[in-house]
Amino acid sequence: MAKKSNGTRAMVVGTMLGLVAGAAYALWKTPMSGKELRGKLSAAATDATGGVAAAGSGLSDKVMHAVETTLAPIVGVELGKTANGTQPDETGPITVAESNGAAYGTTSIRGQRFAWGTPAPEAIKSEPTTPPVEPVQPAEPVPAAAEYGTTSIRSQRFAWGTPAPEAAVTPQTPEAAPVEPVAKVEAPEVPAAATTTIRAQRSGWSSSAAEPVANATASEPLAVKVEETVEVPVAVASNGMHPFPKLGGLE
Amino acid sequence: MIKHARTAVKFFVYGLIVGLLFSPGSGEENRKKLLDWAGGSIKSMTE
Repeated sequence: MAKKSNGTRAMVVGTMLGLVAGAAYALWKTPMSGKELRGKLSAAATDATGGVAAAGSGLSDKVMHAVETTLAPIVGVELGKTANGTQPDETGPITVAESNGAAYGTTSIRGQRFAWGTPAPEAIKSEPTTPPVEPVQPAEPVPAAAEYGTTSIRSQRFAWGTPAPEAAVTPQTPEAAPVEPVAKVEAPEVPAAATTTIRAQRSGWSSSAAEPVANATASEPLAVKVEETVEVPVAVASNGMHPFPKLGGLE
Repeated sequence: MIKHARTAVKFFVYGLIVGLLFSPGSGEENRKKLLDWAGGSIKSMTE
């Protein structure tokens, strides 16, 4: 009985001594106050739990992706598509107009408007649904045979139509060099099987000022290849306008 | 005996943790306060 009592006492004394010694040592050597230390520990714990939560979220995303890709062919669902083959937020108001065989309009896709098709010049004037489109400004005095003009779409100017050869060749800037006449090369006589190769390179309008080249016919037997470049100064291009592609709807 | 020593060490660690968490200031401040208190007490006892 006494031995047991001694053991218990020793244990209690050891416990108390250890507790006091530990507390004294901590108070003697602690680098900061208990309040600061508790704040640091709580902040570290918050960061650790946030990181664990983020890691868990990424893991759950991966698991869900794997589940989706596994189950999609089983249940007959094609991932990334809806039942009718359209995106949920893709469609917007679509405006369609047809005039003189030209189909055009505007489409809003996810809040952004796109113009499509080739508008006829008259239809651009009466287009109420596209505010950025300004009315057609016919260029200078237009010859009777020419159908062309300029269109401002979203502050960018485009040229459309095909100007008459006179209008296209006539330079508006004084620095523009006149068109050089086609140089002809006299060729010696050759057998009748010889051919003539004429290469014309133009920039700007697609069909104009071809007359200087046209005076050479393929039936004339020539031995020398005539390669020449005809540069047509286009007045519209000097104003920074881009030539519109020639499409069937405009004609 | 070894069992008692282990218990003492265990409670030493407990005391260490409690002292660190509830320390009124850093160790340097605590030492200064303790020495000031001890010096004042001794001085008051001798007077």
